[in-house]
This record gives sequence, C-alpha cells and structure tokens, in this order.
Amino acid sequence: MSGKPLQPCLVIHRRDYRNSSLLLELFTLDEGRMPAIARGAKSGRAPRAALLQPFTPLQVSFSGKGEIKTLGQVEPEGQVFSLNGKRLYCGFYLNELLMRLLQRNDPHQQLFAHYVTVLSALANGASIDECLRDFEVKLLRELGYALLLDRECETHTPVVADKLYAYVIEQGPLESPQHDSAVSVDVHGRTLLCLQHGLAMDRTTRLEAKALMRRILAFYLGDKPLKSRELFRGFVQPE
Amino acid sequence: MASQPLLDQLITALRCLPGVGAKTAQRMSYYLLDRDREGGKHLARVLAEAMQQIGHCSRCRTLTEMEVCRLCANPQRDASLLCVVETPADQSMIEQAIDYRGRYFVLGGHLSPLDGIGPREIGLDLLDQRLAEGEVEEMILATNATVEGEATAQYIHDMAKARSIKTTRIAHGVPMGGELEYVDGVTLAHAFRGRAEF
Repeated sequence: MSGKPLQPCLVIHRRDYRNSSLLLELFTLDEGRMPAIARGAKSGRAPRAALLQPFTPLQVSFSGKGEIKTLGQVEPEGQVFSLNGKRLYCGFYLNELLMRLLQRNDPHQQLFAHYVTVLSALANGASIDECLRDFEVKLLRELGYALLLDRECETHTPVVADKLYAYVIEQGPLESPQHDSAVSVDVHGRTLLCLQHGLAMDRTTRLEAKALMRRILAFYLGDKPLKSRELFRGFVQPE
Repeated sequence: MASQPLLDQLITALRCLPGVGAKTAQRMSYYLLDRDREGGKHLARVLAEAMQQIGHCSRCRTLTEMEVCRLCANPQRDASLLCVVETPADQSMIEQAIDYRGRYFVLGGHLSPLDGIGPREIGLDLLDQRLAEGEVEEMILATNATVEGEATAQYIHDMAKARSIKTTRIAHGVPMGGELEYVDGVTLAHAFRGRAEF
C-alpha cells in the first residue's frame, strides 16, 4: 500500500456501481465535494460498504488523476453520528443542500467544520430547527452569499428586536412599511438577530426563521424543489 | 450508410447486461452462434415475451406477468403478516431461506432524496392503502441495513404507527460464522445496541 496522506471526509451520497463497487460523492476537508469510486467495496472478507455511508466520519486516501478518484484506504474516525427518526431526514436535507449548492472540488474547510458540528448537534439531541437554520446561514456565508441580518440595508442602522422588517432577498432587511410579498418576506428583528448570532429561538421566531430561510434558499436553489422536504410531509407530524 | 453487421449489433446489445463488457459479450455471441443456436433462439423468445408481459403486481409491486402475483393470490398465506423488502431479489432470498408464511410488499428501491426518490416513487401510497384495508397486523421491515434503508424503515414505521399497526425490524449485526475481530466497528456497535436476552 502506498503511503498516501489520509484526509477527513464524510460521504454525502452513494450509489451502486458495477457488481460490487460504490460510486460515492464525498465532502472532504481539503478538496470540498468530490466524486470517488470505491472498488469492490461490497465484496471480500471485510467489506467497506458498512463504513462508506453518510454520517460516518472517515479518514480516506485517494489515487488517480481524473475527475473521479479511486478510493484507497478508508479508516473510521470516531463514532458514527447516529441520527434517528426525523433527525435522519434532517441529515438527508443537509446532504441535499450540500449536493445542490456546493461546486465540486471547491475546498470549504470552514464549512466542513460547520457540517461536522451540525451533525454532532443533531445526533446529540439539540433543537432541530436551530441546528438547521444555523447551518443554512453559515452555508450561505461560506459560499459567498452572506446574509445581511443585523443592519437595515438602506440606512445601515442596527436591527431592533421588536420592529417588523421586510426582508428583500439579496439585499437585506428593509424598515419601510411597503409590502410586496413577491420580493420580500416579513420578519421581526428578533428573528434576524437570532439567525445572525445562532441564538435559541421561541416558537414564533422559529416559524419566521424557517419561512425566511426557505425563501432565501429557494432563490439560490432555483426551480427544482428539495426532494428531502417530502420526507417531512405527510405521515410525520412537525415538532 | 451501411448498417452495422448483425454480429456487432448482437455484441453491443449483450453489453446492456450488468457486469458484461466487450470481451464477455463477444464470447457470449460466439458461443450462442457456434455451439447453441437452439438455446439462443429460446433465449430470444423468452426474453421478448418477458419484456412484453412482465409488469408489477397490483398488490405487492413485485414482478409478475399476472395482475396479482402468485404469492398475493395464495389464500394459504397469512394476510396479517406483511414483510416489506426493497427488491424482488430480496423477496426471493427470504422465500428461499426462511419458512415465512406471510405476504410481501416490494418497494423497488429505498428513499433517496438525492436521487430524486421520495415516498411516492417507492409506492408508499399503495402501501398506505394496503394498511388502510386493516388486514395487516404486523409489518416486518426487511429493508437494507444502509442509511437509506434505515430512513425508509423509519418512514414506514411512522405510517404504520399512525394506523396503530405493529412494526418489527429485522436484526442487524455479526454474521453467522463471523469473528468479532473482523467485524467493522459500525456493525459491531449496532449488534451491541440490539443485543437480545439470552
């Protein structure tokens, strides 16, 4: 075996390839999102398929020169983030966001750290809404779409918790009372400040934050809706 | 433009099979043409018929050329037990290995939002109708021990819970004849959590 350096990564998605191989989409610390093939992962005496799953922190090495690298060594790195029930769907939601918004081979070391943090928080029973909103804000910031949350976008005065703002996408909170729901979302200052600082939210703030982030993400995601949201609908009652 | 020689067409066509590359396809073609024309003709006939006629069972979604598959139509089968599997291959594996007398529901995949596969794509609306009929008393979730299989099981469990139907999940862990030393940590952790009273 060659002594190629190992690097931390998590599997975002996997699908079967040929008889016993897996085609993986990885989120690595040093290279961002990248595809890789794990040859023979499902066969042999010690199949690696059990390790090569989403939400399992790994250390891996690669070889090959093309876009799709071949996976070499795979080592587990600590405990699996065990997500149950709705938290598992949240994990899929996060992965779908990464898959849709991250470009391949574009390193985001900070975002990788945020991703590990949010998975660990979800696995340890933290509030689902707060975890997801916090990650969404950080994700957009890392991608270069940082949201203006603590200042009014025209006057640049600090946002006041009790005031109602109209949040204009790609600009920020606007104090003027004009309402055009096609381009803006009504939101209280308190919600904006919670999002900015990752603070604990009450029920109203949570709903407002969810509606706001959904509109903002929809803007960056384009027409195709997120499939993982379907999992939350229907039979599973919202919290 | 001259059309491709028939032999080349045959070789190319055979490559649509999984695990069959150019070399194997060529060997298969020569074998059928040189040694076993009858077998080849028979294969062609059966293949054409199968592709034409085989569809999905309207009850359990498994592959069958009938409206309702043999298993679903069999009155000897216990209708209060329903085993949910991902593929027809999983179903036949259980059929062969275990003396299971209940019925099946074949999803034809698992929930995988990143591949665009949601609850509707794996027939969960049909499964919900089936549960609504009230015949099923216990549902055995035999989806794969992958993250996606787990999510699928969870989703179906929630559906069943809404209708107060008991669900069980097949056990995961150390394979028979397996030595703990060679089992990976993830599997071992699962086996440990799911330990049963001795």
